[in-house]
Amino acid sequence: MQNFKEITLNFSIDIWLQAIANGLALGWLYVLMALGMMLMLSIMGILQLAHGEIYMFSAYLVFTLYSTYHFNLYLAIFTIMILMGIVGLFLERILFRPRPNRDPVLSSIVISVGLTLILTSAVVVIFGLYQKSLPLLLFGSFSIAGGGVPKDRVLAITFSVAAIFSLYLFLKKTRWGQAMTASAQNREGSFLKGINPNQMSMMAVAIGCALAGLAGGLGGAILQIQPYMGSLPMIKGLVIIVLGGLGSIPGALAGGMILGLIDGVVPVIFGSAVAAIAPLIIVIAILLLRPRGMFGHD
Amino acid sequence: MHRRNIILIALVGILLVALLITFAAGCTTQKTTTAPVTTTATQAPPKVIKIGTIMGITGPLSVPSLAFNRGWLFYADKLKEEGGIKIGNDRYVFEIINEDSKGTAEGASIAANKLVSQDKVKFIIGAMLESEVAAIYQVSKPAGVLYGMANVNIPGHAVDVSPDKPLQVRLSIDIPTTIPADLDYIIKTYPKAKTIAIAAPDIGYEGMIADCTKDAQARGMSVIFTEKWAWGTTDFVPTYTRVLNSKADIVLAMNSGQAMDQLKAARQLGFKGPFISNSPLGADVFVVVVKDPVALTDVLVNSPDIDAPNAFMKELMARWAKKYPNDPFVSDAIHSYDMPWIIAQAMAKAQSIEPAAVLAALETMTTPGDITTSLGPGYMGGKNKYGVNRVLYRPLPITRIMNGKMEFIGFYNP
Repeated sequence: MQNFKEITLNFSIDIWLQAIANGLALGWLYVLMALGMMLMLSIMGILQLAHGEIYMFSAYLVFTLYSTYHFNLYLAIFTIMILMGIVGLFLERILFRPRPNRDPVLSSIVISVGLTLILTSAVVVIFGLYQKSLPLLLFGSFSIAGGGVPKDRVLAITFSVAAIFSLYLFLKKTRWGQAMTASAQNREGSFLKGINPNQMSMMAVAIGCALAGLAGGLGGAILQIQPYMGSLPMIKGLVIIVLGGLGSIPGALAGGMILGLIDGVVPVIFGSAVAAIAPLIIVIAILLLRPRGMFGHD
Repeated sequence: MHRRNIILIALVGILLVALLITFAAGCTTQKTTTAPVTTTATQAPPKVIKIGTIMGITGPLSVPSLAFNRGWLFYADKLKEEGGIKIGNDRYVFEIINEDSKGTAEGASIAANKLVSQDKVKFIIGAMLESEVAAIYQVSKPAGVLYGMANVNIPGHAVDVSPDKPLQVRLSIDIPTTIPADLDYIIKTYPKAKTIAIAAPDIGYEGMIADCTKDAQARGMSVIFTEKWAWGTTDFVPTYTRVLNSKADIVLAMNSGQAMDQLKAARQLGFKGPFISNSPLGADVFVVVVKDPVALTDVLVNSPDIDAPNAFMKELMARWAKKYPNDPFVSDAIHSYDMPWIIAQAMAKAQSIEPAAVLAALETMTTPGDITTSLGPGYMGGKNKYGVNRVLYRPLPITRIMNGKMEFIGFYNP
């Protein structure tokens, strides 16, 4: 039986690079999902369980723009990202805004579960159960260290990083972003300072849906599009929030990278059997050492 | 005022969502037509035989599963147009009842129970996985229903046809018989390619892998790497990173309905050699899903060429185009179309619709040509291998895809 050193050294540097690139691409997609969910959780206190279906619905809309209306693939992804942001505004206003005489936590769970069913059923009725596919973002691979690193994964990483960096700049450098950050840290205090909590909620849902829209478009081009593709990214997003610590963007980034690298590297180096349990073991280990998450605080 | 704003915003939001859904539905309107039943004024309408079908319409095999469903329905339409099968003084048409197994044994069992107890079917066709086959047969056998397997991944598996399984027949070919044909073509066309890496789903393909290894050795080639991927895999880049690390000349995606996704991953990672898919998954599916002509080069598949269809295929493709004008034709429908047709031929021979009599008739149709299939003369065989003549044999097509274009190579008679 091979030991750890023998197993890992069986693979040359180019294989490691391929595995890392794939892992990072997946990781950044998970981070996009996690950040959207984290914004809503921090600012509104709700767990948006339909976030995976927003991701899935976005992938189908990108497919429609591309295959029926012959949009350029990149333009289709960008358009749907903006469109889902606008849809998010309405979702917050109609579905998720706190109402008097309504338990905010329970009602958000019930509403998001209902939204999950509506979106999944709509997709099945409109598109059928057929798996759909988008063309690759970019065909071919970059030659690095003698091996090929898929170009589409590198491009997905680039788009994701750009979106997350834009979000970071928005939250840190703009008045609205700073207001959102304040609202996430202390809703009552920020209200007393004149920050409108409803506006903050609308922005959180809009940004969350836009990020899910981008993730859906990129995920649809990397993987396959089918009605149940949203559940795994949503679960990964939740795990990242827990791993990284609630409310921490650096935590979400770190958690996403760890999870993505596990998903990218472990199946290549150790095989699919180990890959099935490795993420669970590593996540449990991290939480045992840091129960509040890597960057979480009281 | 406040309440009016809420109502206004809610209406605009609903309108926006409805517009999104309508806009998305713009490309997917499907026309459904029912074939007219041709009966004369003096002729009694044909009687109906219910045939249940079970496939994993949801899950990783949704593409071939949906095509299978449509193939079955098309045959039922054709039979109706022809007035049905004449058995004695009566004529019979088929009513196909599709159920979704969700790609699981539990789903298959639920579907089979519904078909047997609620719909009262006499025949069931379907299932892609051995676990589903076992689940269906557990329900169909006690009910006296004839079960026609649509596929077996591991011929000779415990769930496959055998003398101790009355009322079970396999209406699909032996997949491993494609390997010798494919390797012979590779030797002729790519003489320098000697080493093979196999990527197979981890569902018990050890026997097929061993047979493939022997077939390769007999031809001066060798299998140098085997990678088993977990069932349910959607991202094949990690799998093929391992496969391509072996530096094999040839990659064989063993009997997988996801071979087109595997091809994408292999080409994306820089593999330029011959890629073999030995499942009946259509070359047209590869072209539609993979899209890129560079990736769709040096690909060998065991499916017919829909660019040069025979008369049967032309008619089926015309039906598909009429009923599903927005969906590209999937050649898996050809295989499934044949399945109820084979049952009908056996009924006609037996002059009976009773499952046991139909099966007995099938077991006598053992000469090539006793069964007509879309791909040529077929027959039931397998006595030497399985103890019973309950496996379909028919010509095996080989198609090569070069620069995104399908080239039909020919038929191989196993």
